[in-house]
Amino acid sequence: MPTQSKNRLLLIDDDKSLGQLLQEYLEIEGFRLDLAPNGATGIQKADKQYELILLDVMMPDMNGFEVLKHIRQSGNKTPILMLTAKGDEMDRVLGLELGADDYLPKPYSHRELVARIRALIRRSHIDADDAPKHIQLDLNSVHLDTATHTVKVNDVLLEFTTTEFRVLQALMQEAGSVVDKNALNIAALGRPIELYDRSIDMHVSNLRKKIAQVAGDDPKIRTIRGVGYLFVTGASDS
Amino acid sequence: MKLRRLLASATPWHTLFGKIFLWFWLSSLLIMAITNVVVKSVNKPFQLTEPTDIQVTTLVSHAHRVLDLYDLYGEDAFAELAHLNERERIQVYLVDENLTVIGTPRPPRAVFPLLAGLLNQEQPMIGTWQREIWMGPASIELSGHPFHILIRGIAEDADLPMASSYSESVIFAIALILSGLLSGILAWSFSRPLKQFRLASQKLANGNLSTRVGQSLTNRLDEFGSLGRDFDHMADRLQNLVSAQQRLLGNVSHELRSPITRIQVALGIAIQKAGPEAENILMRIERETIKLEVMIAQVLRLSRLENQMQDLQKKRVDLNQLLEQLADDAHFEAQASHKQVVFTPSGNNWVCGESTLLHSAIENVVRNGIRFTEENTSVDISTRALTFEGCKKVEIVVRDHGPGAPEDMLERLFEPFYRAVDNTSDGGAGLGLSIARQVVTRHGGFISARNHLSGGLEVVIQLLDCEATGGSDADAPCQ
Repeated sequence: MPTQSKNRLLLIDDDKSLGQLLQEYLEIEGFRLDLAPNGATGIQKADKQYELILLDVMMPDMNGFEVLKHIRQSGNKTPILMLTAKGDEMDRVLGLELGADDYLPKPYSHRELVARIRALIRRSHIDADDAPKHIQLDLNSVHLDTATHTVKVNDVLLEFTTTEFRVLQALMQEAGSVVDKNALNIAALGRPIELYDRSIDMHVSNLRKKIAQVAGDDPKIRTIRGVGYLFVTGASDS
Repeated sequence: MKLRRLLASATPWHTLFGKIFLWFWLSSLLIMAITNVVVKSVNKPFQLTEPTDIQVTTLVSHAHRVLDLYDLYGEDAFAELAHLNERERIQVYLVDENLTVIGTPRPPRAVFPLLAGLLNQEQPMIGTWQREIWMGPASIELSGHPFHILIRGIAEDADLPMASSYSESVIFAIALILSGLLSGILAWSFSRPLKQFRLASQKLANGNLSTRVGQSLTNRLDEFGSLGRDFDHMADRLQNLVSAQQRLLGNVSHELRSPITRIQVALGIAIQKAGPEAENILMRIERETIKLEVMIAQVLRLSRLENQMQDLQKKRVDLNQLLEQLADDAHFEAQASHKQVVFTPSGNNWVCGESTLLHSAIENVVRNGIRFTEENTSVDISTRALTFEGCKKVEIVVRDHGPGAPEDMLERLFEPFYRAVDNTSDGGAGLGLSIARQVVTRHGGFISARNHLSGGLEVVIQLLDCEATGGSDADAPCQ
């Protein structure tokens, strides 16, 4: 990752005065925040190297989901933190489904925000450190390669978001045994699971849907209720 | 209520269709019967039918008998005829051209128009009057004077079948069916649009605000048509009002939260920049801001719930699964403050409702318990099945090991913004239990609080067993 992107963040939010406040606050915390006052500008700016994009859902003209779709469709895999309205379960589910990495309900406390940003950035740095190790996993007709950041199921290349990729990697590394939700959360989002936090379940559900497009009814990931998830090693144990 | 509904379904006169149908049908039958009586009592042209050969033979043989009697007895024959008439099944009358009855007692006056009708015939014919069957004329000559013979039988008489009585019963049957059919159509034409109205208003009441009665009604020119147009107009207004309210809710949510977010971030800057003396007071501002946000969130949640409950989609919910997950999550939260949440399942319990709503209701009760239970104690969730007034119910008991509440305050716990303990730093907005009551009541359930004998508060939620309510039927007897 180029050094110029270090600690550079992009905020896509129509609330300009909030943006300025955040700029000032995050500077104290050691981040440089660029502002995009609307979705179109946001999509343009997102092309540059950012460590993280903060994306507000409620925006006039083009809402956060559309912006998210555009960014992900262009192949940009920068971690995205969605800023959703509190209590709106649908917003979270939709955001994660469209490829956001995590969400933070509004209004958030400044502490929560910085904690989330740090967690996601820390997670992507671990990725960067992992990269030279070049892990290749080949299990149950699923092929995962950390160098190229690609997944093939039945030799078909599938598109995954960074978070989904990490979830799959964590599950495949422990294939055959249960990975509890908290460990999965730390591996994928860089933070422990919170109360009433279903984001990891959403990411797993997205993973399953995408794999099912190719593998059909052959389940690769099994739910162990109350504990976590398990990657099925082969046809023998299903 | 139950009995009345049952009666209505079993007895047609409790429905509008039945009422109109039966009244109209009965009244048309009554009119027919009265008309029949009136017409029969008033003189009317009699229906004459042709007799069969046997009947003609009967008439001719009676005529010969009169001739024989006259040959034998002369003028005394008439007295003999009267004598015979009293004994025989068939009576014979001798009349002259002017319909004067000779010798025998006169038949009732009312029958004379019929007799006059018969006399005008060239061929013998049959006519009926009440239950009497008359036949004639057969012309004879006695001492050079022309006379006519008429004979009379009673309807049961096999020799003279009830020709016109038979056709009358057929006519009556046809009239019965026809008037029944017409009454049915009339009644249906009233009850069908009403049924349409009923379906539409039911849908509307269930929260489907785009419901309209449809063109088949609004295009009508009668009163149903104008009622239909008024109904649709009302539904339009209702839909506009509700959607405006929902828009307002969304806007309020966004507009109120933006400044709070800004305050939060500004506070972050202030805390970083201010010296340690100011930090305490800034933290205090932060706590109050968080509380403000929590309250806004709960008020909004309450109104969202109310909206959602307008259109309650009841499904079978596995209560054990719901409680297990809820207890798992709550336990996780409670651990941070050295408290536990323990769920003890018992048997399989299915309830009817919207699982997200039920989840949030029970969750609020459990969170309340976590807030008040002492450190190193647990909030216990248990369930049991019970039968109350013939209805199968599921009881969920959430018990904490805290201070409980004064007896006279127990009922007030479910009021919005009410706090039994004046504790302003616990982060509660005082809406959790009132949300729970809203949801439970809306599901046909019941929620109450009581102090446990050995300390702590016990909140009891009773919900209908899903088997008992028979799925999503809103008219279920246990509702």
